Amino acid sequence: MENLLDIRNLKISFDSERSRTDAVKGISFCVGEDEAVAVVGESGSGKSVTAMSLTRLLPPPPLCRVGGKIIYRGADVAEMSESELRKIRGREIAYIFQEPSTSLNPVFTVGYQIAEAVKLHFPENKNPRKTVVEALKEVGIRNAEARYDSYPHELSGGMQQRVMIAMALACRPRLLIADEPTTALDVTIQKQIIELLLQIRKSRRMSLLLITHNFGIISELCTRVIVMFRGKIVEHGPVDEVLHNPQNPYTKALIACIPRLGMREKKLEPIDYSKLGEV
Amino acid sequence: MQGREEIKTDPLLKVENLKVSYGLGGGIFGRGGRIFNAVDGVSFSVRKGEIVGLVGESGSGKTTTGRAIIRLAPVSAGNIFYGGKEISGLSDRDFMPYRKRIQMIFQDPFNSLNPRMNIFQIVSEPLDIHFKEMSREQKVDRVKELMLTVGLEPSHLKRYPHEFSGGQRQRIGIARALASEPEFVICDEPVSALDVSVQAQIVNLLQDLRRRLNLTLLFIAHDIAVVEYLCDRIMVMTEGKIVEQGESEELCRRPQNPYTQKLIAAVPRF
Repeated sequence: MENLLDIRNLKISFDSERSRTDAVKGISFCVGEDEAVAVVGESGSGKSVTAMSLTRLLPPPPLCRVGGKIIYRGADVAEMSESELRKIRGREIAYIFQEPSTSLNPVFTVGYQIAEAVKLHFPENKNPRKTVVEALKEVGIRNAEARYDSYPHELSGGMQQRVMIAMALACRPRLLIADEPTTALDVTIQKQIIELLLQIRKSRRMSLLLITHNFGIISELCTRVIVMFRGKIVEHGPVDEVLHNPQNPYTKALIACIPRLGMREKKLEPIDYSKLGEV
Repeated sequence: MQGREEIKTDPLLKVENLKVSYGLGGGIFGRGGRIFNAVDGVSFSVRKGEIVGLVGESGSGKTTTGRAIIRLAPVSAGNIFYGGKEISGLSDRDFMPYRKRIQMIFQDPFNSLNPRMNIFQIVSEPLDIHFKEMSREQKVDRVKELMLTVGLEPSHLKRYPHEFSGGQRQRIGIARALASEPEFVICDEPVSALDVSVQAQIVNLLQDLRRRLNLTLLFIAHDIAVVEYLCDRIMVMTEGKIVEQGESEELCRRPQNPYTQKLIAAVPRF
């Protein structure tokens, strides 16, 4: 498996006049072609800023400093020009964010918003509407032809998230970065979205970097998992091994505090951070 | 309901055929518009000391049901009894004592606290209403005591909500709810906005408070695994109706209603 994305000693810090916050403290991992990797951690672990840094979506210095190397298909992201980056964002690496209702522009139809990305990356496409309708069909939106002209508020949360996925997939990216893609959704809708992502990954051989705190979703979608805590990777391995036989004390504590169906007798143990010290 | 240790007391709260309807507009002044039944004929009871879970997806009417009990949503039809007395028909004035006995904890600890009030002001506000005779010193002592009860540092009395983490803010919300010495607390998605480890802390705190303060809880949530863990009984709601209720373990292990089965099957496992 060739590496699509190779991250070496990534460091991210945010500077204000008074203080400096090290959000990511030197992490290394890679994502292969046709591979699904999960990054799991609590809020503040640095998982979302890591995702943002991959296509330089973070604010420029001096506000935010990114160190280390991010290599995408052999090229260093830090050395790319703005125009090179624009070719990668959306076209090669696409994102889906947590809250579909705030990610969509309320004053444009959903079809228009997806078409915008298609027109940008494929100016030679004579019929972007057709491409968009196909993308909407692919994510399971019925009556896609009519839905093209719907505004975001006319769609349910699950439908909005499908639109976000359609938008991310319309340009056929090699890598999809999904940051908590189902957190705002009901479980039955979440199940549909998981199945949709599984099916699309299979049909397109697309790589996935899934950022989440939900171990259940990881086990359904990913093969490898990275556990982040306070800006560092504390454990890294195949999903089955990490979930069923965690080695790191933080991973163990994180898994022990999640309620699972049918485990009523087991007491939930909140994480005792004082015992973890500097992991 | 074949509970293992069924509590044989009279229900503290009894809801009969509750309906909450909203007009969908259409027609001038809403006349001739369609009616949407957010809660469509719901009946249940909660016994003293129980923790009952109300689960459902968004739009199922679970939150509206909780809010209707304390008049945060308009009751269109049906009866609500509390301690054997009907409270749904009472005037606002006569309902006042029930506002003391029934309290609510809200979902979002970031939006449910007034950012311009410090912790003392937030937690002591219910005391100003329900314990008018208390002196300032008594209030300070009581607020400190409440902060200890929910696991906050009492010396942080003068701090503002933004100085606290999400979990600590939810503890502030709980302290405020407990200030009026309620018997019954409606918890509306109190842990949904929190990190998993903080969620575990709050869930354990609620369990502990139930024992220590002899509380009765209605726990409204969409995460059925949390509900199964915390609650004695579960009611499942969809499209404004309760489609199944039963003892937690039994309901999760052998759901009878097709919707409950679908809901439980959708939970990703590991």
